[in-house]
Amino acid sequence: MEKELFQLMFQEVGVFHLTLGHVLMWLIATSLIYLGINKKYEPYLMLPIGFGIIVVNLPLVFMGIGAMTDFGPLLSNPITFIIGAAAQIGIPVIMLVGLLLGFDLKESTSIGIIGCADGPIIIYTASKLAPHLLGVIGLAGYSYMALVPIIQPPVMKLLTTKKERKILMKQTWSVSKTERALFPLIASIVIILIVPKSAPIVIMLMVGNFFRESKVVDKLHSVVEGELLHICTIFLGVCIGATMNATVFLTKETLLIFFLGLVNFALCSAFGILMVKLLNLFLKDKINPLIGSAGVSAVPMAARTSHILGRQADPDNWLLMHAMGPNVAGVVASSVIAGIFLSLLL
Amino acid sequence: MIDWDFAYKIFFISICGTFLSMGILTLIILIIDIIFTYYKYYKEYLKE
Repeated sequence: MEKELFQLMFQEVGVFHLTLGHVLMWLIATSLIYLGINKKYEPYLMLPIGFGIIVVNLPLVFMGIGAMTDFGPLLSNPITFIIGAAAQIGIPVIMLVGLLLGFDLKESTSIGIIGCADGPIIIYTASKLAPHLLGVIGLAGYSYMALVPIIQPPVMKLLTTKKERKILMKQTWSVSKTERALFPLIASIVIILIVPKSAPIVIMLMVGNFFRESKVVDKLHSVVEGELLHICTIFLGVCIGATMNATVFLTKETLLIFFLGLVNFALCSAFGILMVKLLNLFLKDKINPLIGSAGVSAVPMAARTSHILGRQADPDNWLLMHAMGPNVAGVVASSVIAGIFLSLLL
Repeated sequence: MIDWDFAYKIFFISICGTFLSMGILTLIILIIDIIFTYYKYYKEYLKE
């Protein structure tokens, strides 16, 4: 069994299927992107085509979110990637709890993914693994995302001392335009090579962000960030609502899923905070542990909650931009963990 | 019947895989940051 599982993982890891042809196509795509951005040669065509060539040649929906996300705070403090990863540990923990409570493996994984606090990822994963629970899981996820300012503060206060909450963080450096434009490409390549099943989620997130940061396709960026996102939200809301008829929704499983979702949110926030405390043992410039809870995604609500608690401890403590780092790192990390689950369970 | 052995393996692989991916991204971004910072200083040095 063990051998089979690792064989499965290795078969899924895209980097082992890479050929010279793939790398050549990446070079062609990079040239198109360069021509689009630097020389302004038909950027409205060159950028989507270039990005598409890169991702289709990785051996192997949420573009609007990517178009709205600013990865600058994450890039200026890359250690926050690790905080984002730590804030996902609650997801597999709740998966095991779900199994104990009588859900099957696919159902409990879908319940666990509520903790990532990222609507599109929750819905995408639940629709693949447990479509019959999609409505309940989607509703629980979005409800708790709205309740982040109520759920997180008690956990944050419990796990931090007043002295820790007063830690003033050092100003981070500014990130260049080129670095911002490179990030969606690099992140797509790295993540999809390691976890190919996360491709649909990562590509949509990163292509939206690529439109934003390239600064040469304003109209595409504005459509993706505005109209397209609103249209998707309408269909998403109606489709989730339509799965919730009384016979499916009014069961004791629904209550159990809502309870597990709540515990999951608290647990993921706690792991983020504990990771910051662990990192602080080794770092010269200390990180305020309050930003750890922002690793659960829920952009920007979780970052705002960290900021508010920081200012309650010290009115001169401005944590918002620092907390945005783990906040967007959580978006990336949750797409990775969702991809791993889909690789192993589908 | 729950296959606990399989569930524990999913548990560990999901945690390790997430940290591995994010760790690699951290290293790449740090290297790019260093390159860009040196390039910026180099350009300023050339101007002087």
